[in-house]
Amino acid sequence: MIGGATVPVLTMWQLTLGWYGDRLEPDWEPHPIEYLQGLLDDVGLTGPFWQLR
Amino acid sequence: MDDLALRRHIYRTIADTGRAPTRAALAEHFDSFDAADGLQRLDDRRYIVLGGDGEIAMALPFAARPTGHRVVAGTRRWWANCAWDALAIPAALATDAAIEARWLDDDEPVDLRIANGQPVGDAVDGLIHFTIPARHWWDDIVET
Repeated sequence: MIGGATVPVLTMWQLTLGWYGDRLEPDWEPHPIEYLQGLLDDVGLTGPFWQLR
Repeated sequence: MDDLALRRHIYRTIADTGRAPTRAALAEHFDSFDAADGLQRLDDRRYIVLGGDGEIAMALPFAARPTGHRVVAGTRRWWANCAWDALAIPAALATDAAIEARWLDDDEPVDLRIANGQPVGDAVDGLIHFTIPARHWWDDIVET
C-alpha cells in the first residue's frame, strides 16, 4: 500500500498550469497519459505514488 | 450535437456563471437534444462526472455543487472539488482569484490568492496532501 504524499503549494501551481491551463480551450481533449506523466516529472513528482499507471 | 460542442457549452456556462447547466436547461438550449444521453456520453469519456441524479456533479476542475473550496474572482464564484482544483480554476480561467478554504489540521481559513498569475499569501508555504496514489485517481473520482 502506497502511503500519502504532500506537495508544496508552489509546486502544485506549476503542475496545475500545465495540467489544467488549457481546460477551457474549445477543442480540448484529454491529454495522453504520457504527457500528464511528463508534467508530474517536470515538477519533481516522481516515485511510485505519482505513477499514473 | 457532438460531444465537444456539448462539453464547450457546459464549460463556458460554468466559467461564466459558476453553475453547471441542468439537463432541462441543456435540452431547452439545444433543440431536439437528448440531454440525458449526451451527458452520459460525456461521463463515459470522462469529460464530466454525473451525480446519481443524472445531473452534472463535476466538470473538472469545477464542482457543480457546494464544496469546502471556493474560488472568487471579482463578482464571479466557483466551487472546487479539492485543493488542487481550487488552484486549477484560476489557472484554467487565466484569472487572478482568491481561494476560500480551511486547513484540514486546524480548520483555520486558508490565506491564498492568485495575484498577477502567482500564488501569494500565507498558504504559499503550505502543503497539499494527497491520500490516493495517482494510478487510482479515477477509480472513484468523486472519492478522490
